[in-house]
Amino acid sequence: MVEPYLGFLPHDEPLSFVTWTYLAAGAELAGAAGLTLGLWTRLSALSLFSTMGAAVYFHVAQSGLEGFPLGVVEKHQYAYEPAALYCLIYFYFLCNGGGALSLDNALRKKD
Amino acid sequence: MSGGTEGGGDIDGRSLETRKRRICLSSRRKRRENDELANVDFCSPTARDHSPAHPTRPSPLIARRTLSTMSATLVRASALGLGAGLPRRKTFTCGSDRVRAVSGVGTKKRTSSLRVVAEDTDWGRELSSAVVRVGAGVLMVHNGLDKLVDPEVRRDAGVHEIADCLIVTPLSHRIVESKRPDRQTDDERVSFPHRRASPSSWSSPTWASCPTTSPFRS
Repeated sequence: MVEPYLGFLPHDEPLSFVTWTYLAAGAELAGAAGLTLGLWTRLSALSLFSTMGAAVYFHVAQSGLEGFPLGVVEKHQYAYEPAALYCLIYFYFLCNGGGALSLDNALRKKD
Repeated sequence: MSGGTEGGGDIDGRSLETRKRRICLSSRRKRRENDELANVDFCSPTARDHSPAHPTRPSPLIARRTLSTMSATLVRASALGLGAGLPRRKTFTCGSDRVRAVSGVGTKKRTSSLRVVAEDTDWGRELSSAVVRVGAGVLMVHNGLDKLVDPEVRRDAGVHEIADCLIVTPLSHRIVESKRPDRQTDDERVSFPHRRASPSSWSSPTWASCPTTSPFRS
């Protein structure tokens, strides 16, 4: 996925396209943990937002916009739709932060 | 006697008037305190009109204003009750000359007015936000694991990747290195028939039984 569609990413030594895949996996795991706990929410949301942004780009490059917004597709949803939804959710948390019920807020109160 | 009675009547009338004024003022104060959405400028001439220093005079203007305020409050409260999401917010504005004692800033440098906004914590909003946050976080975990399991190494890539493919089993957290199915010898195919599976099944748990070696062999 990375090489054909995201070939513009730097891939000279020591980086490679597989490295980018592992970096994305790490960002998704660490970001997911951070977002769930509400710890470093904005940073976690930024990492997840960037990976989901890349996913949206990949899907749009692969299958196009599929007649968005009025196109009716066979699979009942656009290929990029889940990624775009995630992207919007993470954008919300990137702007808004974790809120009152988060570790960030608890730690801030402690200080 | 009659004079005394008249005098007593005057006193009673005055005290009645005073009591009426007090009740009116206290009810107005209470209304102002209870109005959560009130945007009161205590320094504005309008607010001064309502200040306790001025006597209450029933006039059509005040009655009209009270009526409009009440209807506006009712509309706002209805909107809040319907969950329209209006913030329960109070805004106070005051001229900075009133806060001279606490400002410590020179008159010229000081801004002309001070605005304080206080808002109640909307627990419904906070809770829903937390639910969305946790849900979006938990649902993303499998995506990261999926990338680890199947990093989608190109089959016709360089020497390093041609020889081997990195496979991670999420349950055992073992990184397993194995030969690609299309590069296997016939002997291997006999001994490991499941390796004939399509590349999409490389992440199958059966591959966890492959011999474990260093995953990052160069």
